Amino acid sequence: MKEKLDKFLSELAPKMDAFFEAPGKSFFAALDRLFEYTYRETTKGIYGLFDSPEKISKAAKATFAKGYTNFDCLTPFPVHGLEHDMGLKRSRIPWITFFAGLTGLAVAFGLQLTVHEQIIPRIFPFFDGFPNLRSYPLNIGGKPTYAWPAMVPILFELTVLLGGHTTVAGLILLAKMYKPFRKPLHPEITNDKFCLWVPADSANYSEEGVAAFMRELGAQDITKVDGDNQSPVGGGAAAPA
Amino acid sequence: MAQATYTEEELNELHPPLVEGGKVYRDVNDDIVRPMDTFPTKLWWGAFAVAAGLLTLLFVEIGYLIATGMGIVGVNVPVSWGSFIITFVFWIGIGHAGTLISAVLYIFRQQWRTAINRSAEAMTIFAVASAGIFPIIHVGRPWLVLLWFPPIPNERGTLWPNFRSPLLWDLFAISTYLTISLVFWYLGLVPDLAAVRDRIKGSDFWNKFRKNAYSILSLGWVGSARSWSHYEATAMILAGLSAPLVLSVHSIVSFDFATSVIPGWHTTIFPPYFVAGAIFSGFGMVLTLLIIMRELFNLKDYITIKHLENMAKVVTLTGMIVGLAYATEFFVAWYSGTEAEAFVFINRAFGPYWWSYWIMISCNVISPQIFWFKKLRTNPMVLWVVSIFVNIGMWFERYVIVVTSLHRDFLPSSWDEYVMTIHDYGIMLGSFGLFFTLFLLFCRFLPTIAMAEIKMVMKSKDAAKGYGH
Repeated sequence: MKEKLDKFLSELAPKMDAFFEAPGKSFFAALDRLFEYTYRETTKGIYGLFDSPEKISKAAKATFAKGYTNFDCLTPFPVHGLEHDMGLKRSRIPWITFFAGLTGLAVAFGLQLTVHEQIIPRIFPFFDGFPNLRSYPLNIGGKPTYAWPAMVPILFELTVLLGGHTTVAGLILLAKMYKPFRKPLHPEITNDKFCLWVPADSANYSEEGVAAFMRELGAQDITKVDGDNQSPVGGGAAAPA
Repeated sequence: MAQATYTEEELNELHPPLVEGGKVYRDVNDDIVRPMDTFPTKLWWGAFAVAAGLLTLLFVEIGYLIATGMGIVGVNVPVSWGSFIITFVFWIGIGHAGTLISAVLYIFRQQWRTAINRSAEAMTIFAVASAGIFPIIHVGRPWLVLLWFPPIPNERGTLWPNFRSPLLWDLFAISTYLTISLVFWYLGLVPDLAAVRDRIKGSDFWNKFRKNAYSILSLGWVGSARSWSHYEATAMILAGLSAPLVLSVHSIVSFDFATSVIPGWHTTIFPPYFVAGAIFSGFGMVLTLLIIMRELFNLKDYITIKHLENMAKVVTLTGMIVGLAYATEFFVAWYSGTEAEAFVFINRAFGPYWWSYWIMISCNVISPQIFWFKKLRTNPMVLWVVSIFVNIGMWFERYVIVVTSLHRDFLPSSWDEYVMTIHDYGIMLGSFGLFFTLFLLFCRFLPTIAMAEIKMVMKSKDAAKGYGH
């Protein structure tokens, strides 16, 4: 009996994992399609370091021309035009702002209309008997209760509020900023080194081929990465102390 | 005819480097993170003790106020808005420089902003936090605010928030402003926090703790170009949203006054006048803080005299706009032929509160005029003294607007004087305690200069001639 139960449980675990992962996976696949590219989490591959933004731009162009795919450049600051050199398009994040902003506008409009016009009792006559669900139409100088200019400040503020925060939420999703203990490839990348990273799932990937290509580009500290293990691949230019 | 090629010296003269002292990328992290790696100096502890003492005073005073009631402060009828609203508008105004520097100058591609935007934005958030206390405590029983604000059905019948009241607009404007500024500031911090995380080497408990803390704060940032592309787009969007937002916030604060029928408040120039005043006072406070910070943390190569000079120019310009607004108010009071309006303005300058009016004029309109002399606007000592005058002057501007307009009611029998009590002073000083405590902690635990951004405006060793990318 116990064995049967254990067997059942051991079979159940991967099935449940697959069941719960599936929507997540399809969600991120959809994100990738919608926004062209997101940060790619990869743990196997080869990196090389460069010491100026000009060199990494040149290296990115060469890597793209050579036909490697899925590669990434890690830099201490945004290098202008680098995504273009890598063959990536402009970020589509402004669309998030646009739709979220429109939602904010609609919410603000609905909120103010509901409070100052008799909306709820009109749509749901059932509620008419509840005095505390009646609206709050104020007669100010005989002006109509539907006075849109008075709504403008809150229309604007809620547009900005929703637009701004949703854009940042979108960035956190696209740049995958929800895994705080991600291990950086090299501690100097946030200081003054510019890293070219070719992961193992790149097209035409072979350890020797990528290492030779990086040597050709003049990269320093060419290193093979497999999970947490890093082993130097000889032959690259020595890093200055 | 344009010269085809320039020598290095000519280029330096045409386009002086934003970072001085021949720094390279490597120096930036070392210079800026140094104060975070070392034990605080005695000077910092001294300043922190004073600030924390004032903060304690704030808590005690607020506790006393809530326990006793609004009677302990100086407000009366007709002066029902006193030091709380004055100091609230003062702090909101201070907050404007940060967003102006981070958003408006970002959109205009003013690269000198990179050295000062981080601390100015921090100042914005702390100032708005200090401001936020005042309307809340001014209502007397703040816990009831939670029931007033959302449009939920309630047992008092149709008592719902009035969306046509500028006070409610204010609530929306300030909460939007605070949260958007906070997010924008934090987003800028993420790559720099990752840099701090990667610098920590030690394996003792304290360093492990710091490494974990900065790992969590930096949200796993590794500097991927794929992430940077989305990040840059987001930063531009937030700048674009914050620029009109910063103008809207002080416009809406001015509606609190302008939509009333009180002579002296009921004026159409209030929105632009308040926004200019806010930028003026904000830059004043940025100067006050940065002149000390660059001295103490040895950041003179990053926050250069050129930066201070640019800020002095903004102070002079906005000071003159504010001066023009004061003059326009007087002109309209006479030209409109409205007796009540004319009375209020003559009373403002020569009535019982004449001294506050002339403190305001001399601090805001006259003192920045010395910046026409290059020698004076490039002298940090002079700049610091004038920045203090600007802070004082702008507090008095709000004092003049609030008190002098209210203390002479339409009915002479209701006329009264407004005197601040010791608790007014206590809470006002306490709000400075909150502001400076937060700012001093910021200087210790977060990078005070945007390191990633400052590297973008430094010259790369492989770059062709010229600066920038």
